[in-house]
Amino acid sequence: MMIFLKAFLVMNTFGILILLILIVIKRYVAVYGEYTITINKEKSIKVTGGQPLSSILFKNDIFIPSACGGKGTCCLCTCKVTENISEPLSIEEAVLSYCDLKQGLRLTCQTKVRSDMEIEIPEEYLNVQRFVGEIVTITKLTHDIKRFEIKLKNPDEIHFKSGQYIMIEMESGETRAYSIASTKSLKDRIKLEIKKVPEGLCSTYLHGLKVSDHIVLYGPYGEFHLKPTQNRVICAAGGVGIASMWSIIHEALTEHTDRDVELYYGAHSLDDLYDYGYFIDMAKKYPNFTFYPCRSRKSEVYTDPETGYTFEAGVVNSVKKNFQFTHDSEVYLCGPPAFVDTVTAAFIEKGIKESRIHSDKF
Amino acid sequence: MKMFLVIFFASIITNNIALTYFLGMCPFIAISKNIKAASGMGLAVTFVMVITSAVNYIIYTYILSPLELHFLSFIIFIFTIAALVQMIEMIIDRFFPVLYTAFGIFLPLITVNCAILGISLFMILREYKFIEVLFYSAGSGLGWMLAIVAMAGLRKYMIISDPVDSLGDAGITAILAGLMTMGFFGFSGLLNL
Repeated sequence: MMIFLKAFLVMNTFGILILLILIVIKRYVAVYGEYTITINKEKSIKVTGGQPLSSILFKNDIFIPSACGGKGTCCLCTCKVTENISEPLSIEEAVLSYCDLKQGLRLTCQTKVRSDMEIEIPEEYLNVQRFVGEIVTITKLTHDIKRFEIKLKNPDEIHFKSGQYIMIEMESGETRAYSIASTKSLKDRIKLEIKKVPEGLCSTYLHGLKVSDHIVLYGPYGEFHLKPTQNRVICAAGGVGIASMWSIIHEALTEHTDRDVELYYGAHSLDDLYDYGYFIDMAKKYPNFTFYPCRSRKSEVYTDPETGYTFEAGVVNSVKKNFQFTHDSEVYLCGPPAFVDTVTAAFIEKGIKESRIHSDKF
Repeated sequence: MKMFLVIFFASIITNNIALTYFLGMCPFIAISKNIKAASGMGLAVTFVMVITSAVNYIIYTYILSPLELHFLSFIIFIFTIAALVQMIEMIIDRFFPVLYTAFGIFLPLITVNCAILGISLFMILREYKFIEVLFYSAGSGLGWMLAIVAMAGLRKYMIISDPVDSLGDAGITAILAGLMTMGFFGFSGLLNL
């Protein structure tokens, strides 16, 4: 009996002692000085060192995007360090190329602030804001995709370019990126189309929310947006990739008149091809819009008796069969990585230059 | 003095913690892909081994033995190893940032290296004194480093040798480790521990 008591006492004293020592060391040893960070040669912020750059920038209202939650894998948070370039960490060496590292590119989620620094980040990140929104409607589109309509409360307006994305912040502080699936004319609200990924952190969180729940998001971000040229817009979307195409197609048809728009939209089956009816109506309303629905994972061509539309077996086959090359074609792709790679190859085979292909991989 | 040197060299050559006892296999197989990473890991492991075994010895001799709580040694050693790795990481991050960058993610990985716990438990088993513990842990760490760096050098040639596909990376490494062990058997007459 005594031995158990002794063991219990020793273990607990030990544990508490270790905790105390660690807390003391954290408070007195892990103390870093005050440093200045200059951003894009114009903005200067005073910070306490020791923290990763991205959390310091976040605290100063500069919201750097992240798809991996600071784990050092997505490379969305890359910045260029122009003064006092530190040695790259092994995590950075694993994801950034040698040339990038030589030029001073570092991951803000991994690099810690240990001295005065001068960094360069894309201008648009300085315009990114933090929004609080309220969910107004939730629509079930397919068995695993829901559409969320979010009314922005504070600030109450968002200005974005068609095709850009926002980052949702979960209660844990982790963030995930989602394309804005509504047109930019709706300034006070945005729509998101979220597919529930099994074991997915954010998609599970979002699918569990109800109407009138509040949600925190940052944005707008993204180099993937409709270019204001007069070129023909060719969109190709795989599954829930159609979310970013909404705004692009709508803007091209309503604001830039005389631009031809083609949409190749593929999903596993007819049921997964949500808003199929909507696009057919768009095709009737706008003569310069052509819609090519496709079914992936099926090898036969199928004609819908109700609408007369023919579904090719996969977007790649549809592109090969239906796309006519013209010199003023611009391609916008969004979908899973394999989809983007195979469809890009199909368009390149048809003669489109790589510089004219803009893609957004999940 | 002779005993200390015997312990030191024995733990590198004849009683190598990686090749004779096959402890610390996880990082041994995972990190031995390139020499720079392997030597970084090896140095980090040696460093942590010496410090943790010294602290564990002190705790065992002055706290656990007098109270006759030998059975707690396992879990208390794990506590100290985890805590010490945390402390070492914070101190190195603050005072030696270049070293911290060099170690990279290896430092926190070491907590789960069973070779570290193995050394602490073996020193109790063999009833070493404090100085012997220091030589033993330093030797074991350097022996582990020798094994992983040698493996990294060998694996460089795996790219050109093109072994059987079904073995995969880990399979061929395990076979290589076995062959290295047999090579090290040649040292067995050298020292008598």
